[in-house]
Amino acid sequence: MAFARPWVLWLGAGLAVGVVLLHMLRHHPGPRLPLPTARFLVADRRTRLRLFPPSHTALLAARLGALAALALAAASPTLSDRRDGDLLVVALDAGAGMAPAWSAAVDSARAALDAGAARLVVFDSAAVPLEASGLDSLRGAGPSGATADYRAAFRGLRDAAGRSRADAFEAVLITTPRAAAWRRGSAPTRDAAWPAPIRVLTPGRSPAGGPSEGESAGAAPASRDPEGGAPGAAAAGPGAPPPAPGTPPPAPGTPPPGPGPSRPPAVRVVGADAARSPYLAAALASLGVERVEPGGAAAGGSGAPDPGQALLVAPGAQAPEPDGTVAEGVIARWGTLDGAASDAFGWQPDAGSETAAEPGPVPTPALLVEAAPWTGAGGPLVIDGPLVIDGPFAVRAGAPGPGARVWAVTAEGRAAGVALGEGDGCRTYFAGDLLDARLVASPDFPAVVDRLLRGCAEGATGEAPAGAAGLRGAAGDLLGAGALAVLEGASRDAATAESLGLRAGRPVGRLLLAAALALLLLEIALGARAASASAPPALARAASGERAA
Amino acid sequence: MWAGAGERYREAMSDLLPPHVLAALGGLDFVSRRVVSGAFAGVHRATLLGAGREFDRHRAYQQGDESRHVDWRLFARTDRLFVRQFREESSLQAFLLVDNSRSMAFAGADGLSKLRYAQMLAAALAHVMLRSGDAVGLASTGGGGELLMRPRNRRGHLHDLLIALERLSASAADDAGGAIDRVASALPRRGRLVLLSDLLAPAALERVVPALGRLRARGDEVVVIRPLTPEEEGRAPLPAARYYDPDAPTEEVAAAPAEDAGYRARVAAYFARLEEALGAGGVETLQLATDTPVERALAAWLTRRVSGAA
Repeated sequence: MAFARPWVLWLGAGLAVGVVLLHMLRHHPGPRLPLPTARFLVADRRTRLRLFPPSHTALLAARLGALAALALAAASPTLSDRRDGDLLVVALDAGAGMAPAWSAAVDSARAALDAGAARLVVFDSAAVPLEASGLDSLRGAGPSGATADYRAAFRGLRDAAGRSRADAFEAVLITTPRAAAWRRGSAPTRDAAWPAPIRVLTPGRSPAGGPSEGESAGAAPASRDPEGGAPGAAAAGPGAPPPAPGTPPPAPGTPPPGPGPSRPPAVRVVGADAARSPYLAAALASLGVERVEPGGAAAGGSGAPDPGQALLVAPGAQAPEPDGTVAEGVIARWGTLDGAASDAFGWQPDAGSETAAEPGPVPTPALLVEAAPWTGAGGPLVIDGPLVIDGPFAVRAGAPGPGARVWAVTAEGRAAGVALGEGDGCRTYFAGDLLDARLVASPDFPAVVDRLLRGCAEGATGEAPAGAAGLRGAAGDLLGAGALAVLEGASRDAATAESLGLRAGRPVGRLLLAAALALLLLEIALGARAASASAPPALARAASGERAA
Repeated sequence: MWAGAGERYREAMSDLLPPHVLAALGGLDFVSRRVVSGAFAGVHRATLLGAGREFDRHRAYQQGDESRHVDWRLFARTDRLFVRQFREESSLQAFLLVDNSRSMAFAGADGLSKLRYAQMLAAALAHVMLRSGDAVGLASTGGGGELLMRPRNRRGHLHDLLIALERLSASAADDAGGAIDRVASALPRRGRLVLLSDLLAPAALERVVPALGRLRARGDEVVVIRPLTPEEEGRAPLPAARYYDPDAPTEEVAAAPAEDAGYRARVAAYFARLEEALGAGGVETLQLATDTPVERALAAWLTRRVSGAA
């Protein structure tokens, strides 16, 4: 028998001890005996309590039995029918993004299933269990056209474990990690559904970059994002600058730079209040940033950071909107209407890309905007978040100016991360609107902020790709390290039926509750009998009976 | 019917006066310490001078005196005639008053109740007194003081006494004072009352002692024999319980007498006060423990009494 809440048993045991003590210490009337010299006796309550042994043993037994049954019922017992043994649960990503590596993914699943006791779950936007014999037909059918959702994978893993009778589980997720499969709520869903490690297998890896099905712990995902864009410049990893001539490209799967001397211990935040942004503050703290300084001009020159300090030009996270509302959890706005901040990275509009629009919300993504009533005293304006303009405006595409390095772009090709060296420090910018038009700088994604702080450390002099088209494809890698960290989980404890909260066997709590109720009824009957035996009216009747005799 | 009465008598004899009791009491007399005025010869000093064994005084010879009463030795010394006078020895009329209140039904650990012990004492005393020529009657305190048998000393009276004793049982009513007064009205002067009671009635000091005093004041001999169990005395352990007085069962007290060091002293103090009051009135008292055999306790007491130690 297993218990979901074994601590309740200890509580019940403590209560049982208390009941026994109360039976030992309770006021006990004792036997009634005649004694002609009774008037010479002196009543002594303490003596009685000490001397009288526990009585009403049947009542005591009924109470203890009821208490035990209640405690057992409250502990949620189950008659275990699980066998000892481990089970491998394999979740195979069948989303559209798996098309380039589909055969390798199926081979990986086959290899995992052949290794021992295993169950297969295939998921895209939903998860369905699949027998191993169905893999061959699945290979021929190819991946579905739907966008994968890792939340479905987590739920599928759990459902597969729940349908089995194993004691311990190992989870394998066969996927090409990509941002498109990561949705808002994926992290909490992952923790709730599978609070244990998940081994992520990325099919189609080349042997030079590691194992062909490299385990992706700390690894950047592959440079493809078929669901979000074409293969692009991020083949060398998220935010990697264009390689310098003669420099070999980083191997695929190379983890992003970890904490090191290049990361500044102090950060000055411009354009966002880190103290008011729990996400940004937590992300910075998770990276070991010792000091966060507010403010500073965003424009070039005037806000130059000190040596060893990064100037973080972050969008206005949780900054109150003009109407008083707060874009909660969203880092989606950067730029000022005076255009001074736009000059920080030398944004240059692409000629001929202008699009006229009527007054109203600026369609996102919008790279450069020129509003008709506003002549742009400081040049073009960068907007990457919701903004409403009263008059007609024009939208243009554009890119940071020379010297600025774009280390990440959105799926739509907008520059998402830009770094520009300034003195001994680095001016770094990143945009929101990367996931579902919103990027939450959650501690789940420390790599995002990490890249912010390293923007100039990796080839600060590199040239930005010309135009937005050259930046496409980088977004898939942007979340690689953080998403993988969440995918794999921080826990090192093995998944067990107990840790997954799976019911092991047949629950018998209701049966025990019924027994407890029966014992309580018995206790009530015995208690009433005991009370009537010692009640004063009974004494009076007995006395009157003696007188009559 | 006669066969039934004989059977009861034999049972009563075997229970109340077994042979070893009779043997132990053989030759013992329950001699009165008072001068009695009985109609028949007995073992007690009578008020009249005459035929008797106990010399009382000399008197000058008068015409008509029998010559066998002349003290010739004194005549030889004084040359005058004196007649020797003797105190007559007479019988007396006695009542055995048995307390059959509920408290007397209390039995010790050996199962012998005080009432049974009193019945055995009464039977033994009746045997002794009847043998001495006394007339013995029987009364009980129960039922408002019931006179069961008037004092007699005829053949077969012991038989009736034993059967009446055997029939005694504990009664709820306890009017020992009234019973004593009724016995007094049925007892001629200079008689004897033997009260067999534990004197644990709540009103013993207020009613029983004065009633006994009145009886004593008119010249009767009054003896109180108090049977008491070792448990009541405090010599034997009593368990912790709710105790009640059988004569007042509605009132109870929860106590552990074994843990109460003052219990025995309080009981002893009560009886000491009682004996002091009785002794002041000239009432003779005797406390007997029920764990002492009747014949041994009675023989010792009678012996001490004759010798004057008691």
